[in-house]
Amino acid sequence: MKKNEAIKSVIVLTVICAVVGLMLAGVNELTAPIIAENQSKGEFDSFYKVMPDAEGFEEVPLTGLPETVKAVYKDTGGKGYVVLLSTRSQYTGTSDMGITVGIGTDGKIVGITLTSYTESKDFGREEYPQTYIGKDSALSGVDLVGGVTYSSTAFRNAVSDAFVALISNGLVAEGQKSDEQLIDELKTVALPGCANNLGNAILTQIEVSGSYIKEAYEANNGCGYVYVLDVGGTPLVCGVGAFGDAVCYALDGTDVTNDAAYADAINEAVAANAKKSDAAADANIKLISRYADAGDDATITAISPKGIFNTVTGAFEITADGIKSYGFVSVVFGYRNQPMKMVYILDENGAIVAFRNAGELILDSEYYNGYTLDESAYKAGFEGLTAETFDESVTLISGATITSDAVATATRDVFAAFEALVTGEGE
Amino acid sequence: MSKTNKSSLSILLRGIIAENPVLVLVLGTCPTLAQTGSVISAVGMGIAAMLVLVCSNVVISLLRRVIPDTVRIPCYIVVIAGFVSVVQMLMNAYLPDLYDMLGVYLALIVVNCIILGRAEMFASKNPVGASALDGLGMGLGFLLTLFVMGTIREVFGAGTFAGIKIPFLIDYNFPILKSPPGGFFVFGCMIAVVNAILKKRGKPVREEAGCEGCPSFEACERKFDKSADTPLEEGKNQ
Repeated sequence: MKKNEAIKSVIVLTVICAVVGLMLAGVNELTAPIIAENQSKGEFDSFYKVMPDAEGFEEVPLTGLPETVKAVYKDTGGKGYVVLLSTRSQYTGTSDMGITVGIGTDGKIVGITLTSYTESKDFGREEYPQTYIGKDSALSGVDLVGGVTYSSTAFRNAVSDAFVALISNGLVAEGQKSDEQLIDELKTVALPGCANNLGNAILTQIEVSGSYIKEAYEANNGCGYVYVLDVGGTPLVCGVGAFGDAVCYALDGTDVTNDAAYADAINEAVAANAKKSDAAADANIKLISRYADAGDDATITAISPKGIFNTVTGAFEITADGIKSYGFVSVVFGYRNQPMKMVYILDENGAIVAFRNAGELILDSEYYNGYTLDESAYKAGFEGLTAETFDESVTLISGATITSDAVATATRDVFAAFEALVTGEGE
Repeated sequence: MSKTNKSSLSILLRGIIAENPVLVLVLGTCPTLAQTGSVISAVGMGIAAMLVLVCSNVVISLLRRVIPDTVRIPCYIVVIAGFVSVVQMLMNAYLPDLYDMLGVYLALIVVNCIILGRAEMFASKNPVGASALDGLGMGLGFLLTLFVMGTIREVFGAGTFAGIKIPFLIDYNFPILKSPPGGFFVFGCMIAVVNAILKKRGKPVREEAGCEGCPSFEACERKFDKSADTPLEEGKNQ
């Protein structure tokens, strides 16, 4: 190759490269900002779904967030916040649920989407979240989905946590709860025994007529009744326990049980189902005599510890050969809110002599994963325990969390009932 | 119609059937098989390749007297790569979904044999107008082939057309057509159909197109005379 030809080749190639480089620089100048914007939108794609008018997003470093809140982002345009949530449905206890919720600066939900959900039972993954649009932290008017209570409860609780995260950090204002919501919340306050492991009241509405009673509910585990009273336009929520005691709250949470202005209304509530409660107590005596192993000449008397609104539905004094002991029946909610009846025999010092259950301890279909349990050894582990020495670890059953929680609740409640008896609050 | 116009039209049209780059010259097989799973990606790839083909043909034709023979391939590659990068940037900016859909195959247009082949075989030897028409014709041939193949594979393989569900076919389709073996099958069928059409019209099927169309033909060490099975004379084209 001649020298001149070589130089020409180098020059031509260099010039072509330079021109192409300049052309690329020009096009890059034009497109780079648009590409950067596109990439930013792609990164926050799910964010724009819940807050379409947002300009951009940046993470807000917050502390003390509820466990379900994974991250909080704010719109750089100041329109609101996007909260990333991750929760778990208690139905199988293993399926994660991802939620992205957009909350405006006015404290109302502007968009919400379910980003992941693996339960086989669908609760309307497209439609259900839309019922939250426009709601504030009170979530007034948002219902659970019948038949898919676990998943929809987990969803609602996670959304509530998003509000907790923003409100506790002063980013949005708290919403005003409706009367219906306040009444719903007070049901488990007035009668804690009617709550399942998620804290939801498991009640059945019943027909009761009265001057003050507006609504009446019977606990599905028989631990008592909840009444919504109307006293001259003032709504009250009252719980009547299995032993006939009553406690009443105004909607602001004030305990009005001893307020003379409401005495007639409260008495009406107590009397409404008194006979039904007595009948339930009689049925429990048979159970106690079966499990107490106290002999034929033992006497079993129904007693009523005072101020009990928990899962204890029956309390009995057992006297045999001059030795006194106590029998308690607690009905707790197990898998899929099915009532599980537990029987405890305590000696006069409050130590467990025997722990038994009527029916299945672990409901067959509780979990998909298997579990192994020697029931006799498990129950024997409770013997000798008192309120002071009781450790919830003895209730643990690997692979059966709901049953474990239920047994722990029953045991705690029985000790509380015994405490009420020995402190003289029984008759 | 004047002779010039007739000639221009023939340049434009030959890329569509008679010298279809995919079905007759059997060039650009890789993007053809990879991007015809859906109509949208097939059309996107076809348009992108056509734009690069027209632009690179025009520029290479303009520079055909300036570019020294010894560095022509690097020069063509730089020009083609430049236009591919421009298309990439524009598509990323204005059609990001299509850009994501085409993926790496968009960048691979740089080494698409059709483009380099037309630059070497046509644009470097012909005036700008004819080169532009050749690029447009070949681009249209490529685009149409991808469109037809994409349509067949998506409609019968997935029961949709450009993402729109087709009644009956959405429930009864042949998913294998969307997979690579299905792509080869459809590709083979289309080549057979085009060959049959060309044969019927009395036009010889270009058996020699595969090797001589390759831009590296001149430098290739394996140049054989098909009849004698002996190497051809250095640099001689049949």
